[in-house]
Amino acid sequence: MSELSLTPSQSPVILADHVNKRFGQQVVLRNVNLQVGSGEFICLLGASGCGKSTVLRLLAGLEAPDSPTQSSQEAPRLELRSSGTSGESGPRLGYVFQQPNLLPWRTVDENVGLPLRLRGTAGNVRRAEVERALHEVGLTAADGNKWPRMLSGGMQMRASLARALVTRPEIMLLDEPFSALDEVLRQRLGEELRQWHRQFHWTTIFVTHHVSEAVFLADRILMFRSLRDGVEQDSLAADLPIQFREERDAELRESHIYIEEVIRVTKRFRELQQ
Amino acid sequence: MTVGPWKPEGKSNGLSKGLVGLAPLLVLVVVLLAWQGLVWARDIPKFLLPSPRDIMMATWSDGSRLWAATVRTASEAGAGLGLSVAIGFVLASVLGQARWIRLSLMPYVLIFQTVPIIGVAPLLITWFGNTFSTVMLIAAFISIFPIISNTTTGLISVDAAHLDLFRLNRASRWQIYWFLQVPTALPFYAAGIRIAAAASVLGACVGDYFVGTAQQEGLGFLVFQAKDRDAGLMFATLLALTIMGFVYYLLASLFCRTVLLRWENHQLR
Repeated sequence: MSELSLTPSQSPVILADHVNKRFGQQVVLRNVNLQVGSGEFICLLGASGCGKSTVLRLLAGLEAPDSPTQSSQEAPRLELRSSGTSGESGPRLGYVFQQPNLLPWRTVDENVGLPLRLRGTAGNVRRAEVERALHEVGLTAADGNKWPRMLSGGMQMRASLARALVTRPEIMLLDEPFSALDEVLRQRLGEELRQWHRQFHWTTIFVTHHVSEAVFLADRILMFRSLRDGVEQDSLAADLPIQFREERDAELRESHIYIEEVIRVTKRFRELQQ
Repeated sequence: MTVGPWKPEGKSNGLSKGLVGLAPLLVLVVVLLAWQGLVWARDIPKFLLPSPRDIMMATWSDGSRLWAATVRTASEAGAGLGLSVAIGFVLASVLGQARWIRLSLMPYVLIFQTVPIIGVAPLLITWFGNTFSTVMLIAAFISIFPIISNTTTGLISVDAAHLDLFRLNRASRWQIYWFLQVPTALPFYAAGIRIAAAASVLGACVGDYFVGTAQQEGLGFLVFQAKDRDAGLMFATLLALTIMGFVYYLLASLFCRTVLLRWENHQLR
């Protein structure tokens, strides 16, 4: 796994152990175990309804894992650790939703600054950080003064990304953020996302159901299977390292090695669906 | 002819914009003329149906009395509306906090609403006397329910994804209320206020009827005073009440439009 792999001395930043989740009678996740090292870029790949988004929600604390039903089962563990010295209780978390999820009654500036506002950050610091975040994602100060609905879908998603990175997060969780965008825009944002990853060293989990998107973005793909009734299978089906010597940019998409990798992963993905 | 952006509806529509604005007035004039004509032609006695001319005459001769009553009822309705707008929001905020609060209090809010005002008015008079406050309370009593009901619905209609966003940022209960629930509820609150505005005039009118005396007569009192003596004045009073309800509704709409500029423009178009 080259230079981005987990070295034994490096403890994982994100860790899940024995995680189960059911909604009512429906088992959504069974026995999920995963470890993500500092700065790693992981894609959770799976068909719709396989519970991959639920993993993200569990990690973010939006859902709670099920308690063990039998005494023989081990208690679930979900941990997000701070790699640096942030001084806070846990690591700073960025979360990007499937939809831009901007508050329609607030300007783009106010939306991007909302996480800081909720933390009680002083107004002048907040304005500076919002300006920085907008700049990072390629939005102008004029865009910041607009109402969300005046922006295109792509620009709304950029604003949503700015809101996620305004707190200078260590861990970035993205839940199919580009799935509503057209193919060209999705590719461009994917390329920019890898640039930001290089720049900010986020430990990143990106949920997607697009094989090519996962292959392009990920250092490692965790493939999820859809659980079937009466079959005792774990949700996590495969752990595939993805290595390219080349940079993750637009050029890579046209290279043979990338296309071959997409074909290889697609094959595995198809096998799982059967 | 002025040159402006071409509008398809401007071409197909036969009436010009100015004429369309005058159309309701035209209807009024036609109706009034027909009314006057009917009364004259059939020689209908005044106590059965006063003609528009009779009503105008009554308005003219009893002008100051009518005006005083109008001011009184308008103040009662306004004060009552203000009370229900304020208290309704506070009560809805309490109800909007948790499901168990709604479950335990909503039945009583509903029962409170179904108590007929005719039964409550004498009780309020016993407590507060034949006063302005009594009528104000009756107006508030009638107009508060649409505000509580609408605003509570708004406060709990928060978008699930928005709520996730706030929880991810470890927002406090107060922050969720102030930055998410209240903005979500504002259009609902405004709709409630618009309904309450017209209802408060009705409440003040009912209150006047119970509380009024010759020394302090509102429109609701005056309309019954005039019933047997001066049908023209009775109709003039009715007209004043109708106009007041309409004006209150318009004022409330205008107020809500101004407050909700962000919502009207950017969410509801």
